[in-house]
Amino acid sequence: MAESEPIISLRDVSRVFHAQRGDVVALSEVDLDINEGEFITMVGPSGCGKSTALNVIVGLLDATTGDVLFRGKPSRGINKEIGYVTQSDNLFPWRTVIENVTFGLEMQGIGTKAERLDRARQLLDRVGLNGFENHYRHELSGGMRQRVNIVRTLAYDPKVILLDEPFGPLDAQTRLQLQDLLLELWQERAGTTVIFITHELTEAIALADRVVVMSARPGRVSEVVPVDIPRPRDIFSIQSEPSFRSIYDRIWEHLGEETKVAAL
Amino acid sequence: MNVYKLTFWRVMVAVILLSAWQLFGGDLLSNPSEIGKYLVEYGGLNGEFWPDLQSTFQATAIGYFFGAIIGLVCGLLLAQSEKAAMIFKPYVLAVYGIPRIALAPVFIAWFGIALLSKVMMAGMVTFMLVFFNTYEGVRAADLDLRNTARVLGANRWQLFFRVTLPNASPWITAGLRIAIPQALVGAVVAEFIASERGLGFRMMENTGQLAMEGVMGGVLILMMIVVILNSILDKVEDYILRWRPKQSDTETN
Ligand SMILES: Nc1ncnc2c1ncn2[C@@H]1O[C@H](COP(=O)(O)OP(=O)(O)OP(=O)(O)O)[C@@H](O)[C@H]1O
Ligand SMILES: [Mg+2]
Repeated sequence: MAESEPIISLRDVSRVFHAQRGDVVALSEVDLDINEGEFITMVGPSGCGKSTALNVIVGLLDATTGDVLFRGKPSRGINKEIGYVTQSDNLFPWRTVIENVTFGLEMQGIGTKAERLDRARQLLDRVGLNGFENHYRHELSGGMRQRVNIVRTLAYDPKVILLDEPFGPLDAQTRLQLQDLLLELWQERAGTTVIFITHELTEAIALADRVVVMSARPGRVSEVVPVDIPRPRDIFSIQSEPSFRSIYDRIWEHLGEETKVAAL
Repeated sequence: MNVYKLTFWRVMVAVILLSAWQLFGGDLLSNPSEIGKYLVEYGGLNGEFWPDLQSTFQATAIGYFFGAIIGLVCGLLLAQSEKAAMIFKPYVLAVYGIPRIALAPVFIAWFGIALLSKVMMAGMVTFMLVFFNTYEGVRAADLDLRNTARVLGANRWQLFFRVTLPNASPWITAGLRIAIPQALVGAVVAEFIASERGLGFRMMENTGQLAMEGVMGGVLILMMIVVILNSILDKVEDYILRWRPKQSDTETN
C-alpha cells in the first residue's frame, strides 16, 4: 500500500571516515524505516554516529555502503524536502536574525519579501524573540541562537525536519517550554516528519513516537522503543505517566550496556 | 584618566617635542616655524600644493580603481578552482614577496615619467593587496555555513553571492582598505624616482635645493593625508562590517 510506505528508509547504511590514524566506522549496517508524520528521537553515546546519520539522510554525506530511500526511491545529493537544524547554530553572522529566518524562503523564491518577513516575525514571536529581529549573531545568547536556528528551518515548512541536539545549550526551564512549543508547531504541521537527536532520555521519551537507541562506535541501531503515551501530551508532567517508567528503564538498559562499552 | 587630562597631556607632549625641535633642529631637520612658513606659502590659495595634490591624487585614484577591480576578479576566479590554486600558489607568493618599491624603476623604464608609470605603480600595489586578500578570504569560506545554505535551498550562484562573498567580505574590505594609503605611497615613490609633477616630485625638487623645510613639509603633508584617509576608512569599514563583534566586546574592563 502506497500510504504505508515509509518516507525515509535506511537500508544497511554504513559510513566510514578515512582518517590519518586509521579508518573510523561511524555508522555500521543501520536499518531503519521512518513513517510519514512520525516523531522519531535518537539517543546514544557521544561519538556513536548520530550526527553522521543525519548528514547522510539529508545528503551532505554519502553512505559508504547501503542506500537511503526517500519515499521508496534512492536519493542522491541534497534532499530539498528535508530541513536540517544542525548541532552548532550555523547562523550567517552577516545577516540579522530576521534575515537568517527568511534565508530559506528567499533562496527558494517563496512569497514576496513582505510575506517572508511577516512569516519570520510570527515565528520569532512564537519562540519569544520579538524585539531581536535586527540583532546580529554575536549579540545573541547561545539559547537564542539555537532558537533562531530552529525557526530558520520551520519557516519554509520542509516535509521532514532533522534536529541535532537543538536544546543542548538551554537551561531546564527554557528547555521544557521549547519542547512544548516544538510539539505544538509539529502538530500544526500535519504530516511533518521529525528526527530529533538528544542525550536527554526524558526529552527523548516526551517527544517521540519511537525512540531509536544507538550503540557505541561503530554506530548501530541497538533498539527501537515505541512510546505509547497518548497525544496531546503534557510535557511538564510526562514523568507521571504510568508507562513512562518502564519505557525509561528499557532505553536505559540498552544505553547503559553500550555506554559501559564506550567507557572501556 | 578623564578626557580632559588625556587631551592636556597629549597636547603637552606635542608642545614639548615641537619646542625641542624649534630650539635644536639645526639645518638638516629644519624647524617648525620654517616648515610652517613653507606650508602656508605652498598650501596657500595660489600655492603649488593644489596642482601637485591633484596630480598625485589622480594617479592614485585611477591606479586604485583598476587595481582593485582586477585584483578582486582575479582573486575570486583563482579561488574557484582547487587545481588552479594549487598550481599558481608558489607564483602568487613569490610575486607577493617582491618589495613593491623595487618595481618603481622597472615601471618608469616601461611607462615613462608621465602619469602612466605613477598609475601603474599605484595599480600594482592595489592589485597585489586586493588580489591576495580576496583569494585568502574566499579560500577561508566556512564549510558548515556553505552546507547550511545548500540545505536551505541555495543554488551555486546564490551560494557564491549570498554566502562565499559576504563570508569573505572582512578579508576583501581589509585588502581594499590597506591598499588606499599603499597606492598613494606607490604613486609618490614613482614620483620620487622620475616625474614632472606631484607631491613626491616636489619633495625631490626641494631635496635637490637642500630646502629641508620643503622636504619636511612634504613628509607632514603625506602623514596628514594618510591619517585622514585612515580615519575615513575606519568608519566605512565599521559600517560595512557592522555585523562583526567589536574587539572590545570580548575584553573585560
Ligand atoms: N568529517 C569527519 N571526518 C572524520 N571523522 C569523522 C567526521 N565526522 C565524524 N567523524 C567521526 O565519526 C564518529 C561519529 O561522529 P558523530 O559526529 O556522528 O557523533 P555523534 O553521535 O553525533 O556525537 P555527539 O553526541 O558527541 O554529537 C566520531 O568518532 C567522529 O570522530
Ligand atoms: Mg553529534
